[in-house]
Amino acid sequence: MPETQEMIINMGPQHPSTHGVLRLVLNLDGEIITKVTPDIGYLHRGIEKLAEDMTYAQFLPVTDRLDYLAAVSNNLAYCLAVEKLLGLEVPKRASYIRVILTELNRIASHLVWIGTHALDIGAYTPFLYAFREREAILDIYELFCGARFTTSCFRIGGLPQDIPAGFVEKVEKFVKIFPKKVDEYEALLTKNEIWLRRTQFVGIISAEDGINYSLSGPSLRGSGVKWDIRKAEPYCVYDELEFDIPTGRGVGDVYDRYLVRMEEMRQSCKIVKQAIAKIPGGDFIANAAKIVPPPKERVLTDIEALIHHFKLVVEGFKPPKKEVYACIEAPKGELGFYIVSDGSNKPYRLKIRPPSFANLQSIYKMIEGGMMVADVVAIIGSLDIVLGEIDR
Amino acid sequence: MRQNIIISIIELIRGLAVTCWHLFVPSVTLQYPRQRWTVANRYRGLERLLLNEEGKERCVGCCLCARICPSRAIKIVTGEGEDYNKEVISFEIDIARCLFCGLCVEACPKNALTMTGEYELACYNRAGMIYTKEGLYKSPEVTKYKK
Amino acid sequence: MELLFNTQELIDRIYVFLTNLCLDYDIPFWVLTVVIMAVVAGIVAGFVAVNTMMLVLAERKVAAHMQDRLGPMRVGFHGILQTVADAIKLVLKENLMPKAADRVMFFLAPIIVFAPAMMAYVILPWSPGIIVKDLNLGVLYLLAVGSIGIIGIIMAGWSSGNKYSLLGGMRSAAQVVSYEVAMVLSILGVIMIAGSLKMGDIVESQKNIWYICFQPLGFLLYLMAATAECNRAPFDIPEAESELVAGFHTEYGGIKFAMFFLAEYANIFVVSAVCTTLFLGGWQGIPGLPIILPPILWFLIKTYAIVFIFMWFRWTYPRVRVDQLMTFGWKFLVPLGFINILITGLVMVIK
Repeated sequence: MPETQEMIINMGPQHPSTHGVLRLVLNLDGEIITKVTPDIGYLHRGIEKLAEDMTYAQFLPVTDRLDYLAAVSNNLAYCLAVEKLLGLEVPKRASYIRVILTELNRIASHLVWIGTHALDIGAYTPFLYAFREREAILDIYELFCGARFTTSCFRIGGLPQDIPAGFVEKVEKFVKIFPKKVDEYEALLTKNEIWLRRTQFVGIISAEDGINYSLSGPSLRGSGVKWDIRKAEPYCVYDELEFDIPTGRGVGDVYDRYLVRMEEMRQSCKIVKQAIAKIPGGDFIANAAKIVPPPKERVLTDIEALIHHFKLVVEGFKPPKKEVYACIEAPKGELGFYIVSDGSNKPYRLKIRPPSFANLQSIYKMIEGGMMVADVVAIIGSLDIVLGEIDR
Repeated sequence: MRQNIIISIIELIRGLAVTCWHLFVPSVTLQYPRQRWTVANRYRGLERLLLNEEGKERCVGCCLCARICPSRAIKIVTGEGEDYNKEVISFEIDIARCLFCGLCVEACPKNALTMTGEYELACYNRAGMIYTKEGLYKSPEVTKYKK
Repeated sequence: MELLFNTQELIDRIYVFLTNLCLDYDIPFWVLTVVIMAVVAGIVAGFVAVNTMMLVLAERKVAAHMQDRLGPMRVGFHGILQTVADAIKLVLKENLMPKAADRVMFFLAPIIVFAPAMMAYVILPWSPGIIVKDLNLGVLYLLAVGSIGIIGIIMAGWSSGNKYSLLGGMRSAAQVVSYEVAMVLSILGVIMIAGSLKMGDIVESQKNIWYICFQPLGFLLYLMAATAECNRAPFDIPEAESELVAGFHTEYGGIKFAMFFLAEYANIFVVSAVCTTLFLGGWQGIPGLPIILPPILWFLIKTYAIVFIFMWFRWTYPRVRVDQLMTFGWKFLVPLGFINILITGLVMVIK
């Protein structure tokens, strides 16, 4: 019997299906994986350190670059954290619009996920269909804030500007057609025999293990744990809206995570539908003179407002000496910002708790039990990682 | 948990039907250089400096935009003019660093800075990425393609 | 015009004319043979090249329209010259050789993949009389030639010195060996009914009824086995780009890559043409209806319809996993193939 040896193969950082610059060192016995070692850090930009040299308002556009597929969610999590630090109350109108935009963002993020996940498993067409709908969401963002991708569309205390004319109609139109489009993706995948065989009983993680590996978001719900921060610790106005938390069929495999995300898209659609009907009147940004710069018209005419504006732009506001943690249910899971303030105008330390980073480590568990190279691709796809927030 | 083979076959055929149906659905793509996309009013494209009603520069060189810029892309040099007034000597935006976040526009107390719908900003060298005062006062030229 | 319908006579006339020419001018017959061989080879090579470009364009257009896109639109009217432009680009590209590659093998692999793909064109019956050589063992020859290409793929995978290529090559070997069996079994039914391995005879014997009516199961099995045989999605695991980057041709570029590409599409055409010949009556029109189209057009229409089915599969289904591919081949296709033969045999005996 000749001696055999395991083959070590480098998957990434340049690889079509590691979703960016993730590098996996795979030990292969034929096609079967015996060991996997993720290697991260290829996209490290020092975002947490950058925050320490920026005023609170200045840091907001940088959060777009965390999970770049869900820029709006990052903006929201950061704004909520700073607002918690300041003890600032956000107007209802702003909160509703925030919910609409973040839920649309969840759909957009899931659409990229379904597209790339299907592409990883070899189905090309859902990718293009998903991007077609995502384009409509990006159009809505463009209408609201002027950017399609790196939105920076919230401000501390509310929104930068009120919703433009035609916004509500556009969102309503999207919400109306979208469930039919989801049916279309499902027709191509959900009951397709090949898809089932590729995803069922692949990358299984039990509920207990999922919690121990600090999984969150759809990846955890796929294992059957009914945990959603929108329900558990409602932020914005989620307690006023009705929606369900899908949990899949309770096996905890790739297919379950797929089912959860598909259903979540429908639920998000439902949330947007309710929220758009309920938008109250009022201000779009909090009326807090020491934190929120005065409106532009007053800056142009009123000397006191101008002085305020100068002070807030140059120095920024100085929150109390405090430590806060605020988290939201981002499309990928729990996204949290931990801010330590020393009373100056810049955070003393800002720690980001990105969902993908915590989710990625469960790959050790999922890979157990003789998974193949093709399964690794499916597992990475089902975790829906974005390297922008893993490496930060 | 395997599904019935008849259901499998029906589902496989259903998939084929979806793709076949889409053969007859009109395409949604934009033939980019020939067809152009109209950007929203609020689109955050290339920055531009504005003049006031009298045709004078609105910018007073307060440097608020340079202060708020997260990537420090704006460089302003001010000096003393002939009639002892503060004068903006140079105003440069490094587009290669710009995040197009729009904070500078919000920070401007004189409404001197705005963002246009111009998004075709590619150029052949880094020097071309730095827009000086002259460039920023001119309305950006729209790129034209043959054919 | 009439000669288009009666191609047998056309060929005979050309042959008689050329023979007379030789006799008149005292040219030795071997010159005639060499010239005919060269011309036929030229026609086949030209057809393969042009047809491949068309198929690539068709594939891109079909994919695009299935995905609500338009596909290539810039070169020529609706991008019809796109593949020409691509081909020119590929040919003009620098010839790269990876440092870790086995030079001779790396160079030979594309040729070994491409040559058999061309060789298979020898036995395709286009129209009565228009066949390069109607071999007695036509179908057998086809299967034999079809499995040579795999050696080239393994060579490419091994000689690239790239682990992804190696994995792709190994997968390909396993796949083709398994699916060859299923393919032979699916064809056997037809051969039993026709009683001949000669392509011309098989087409002739479908004068009254196409074999797809006797062999629907065989037809489906053949379609599946053929998809796997030419590494098409959903069985494209040797090149599975999301797993193995590009599989066995990861390290290839320029004209060598173009040859792999050419071979792939040439193969698709061959399997479709064989499918037409064996199951859909080859160049014969629909039985019982008056002949409207010349036989060669019938042949092409049917073949391209099958090609379209292959493309349709590719743009609809996800990719199967390598072990599932094996399971599917050995535990599903092969037993079904045996059952098909058994039923065919029983029916023949009872008759």
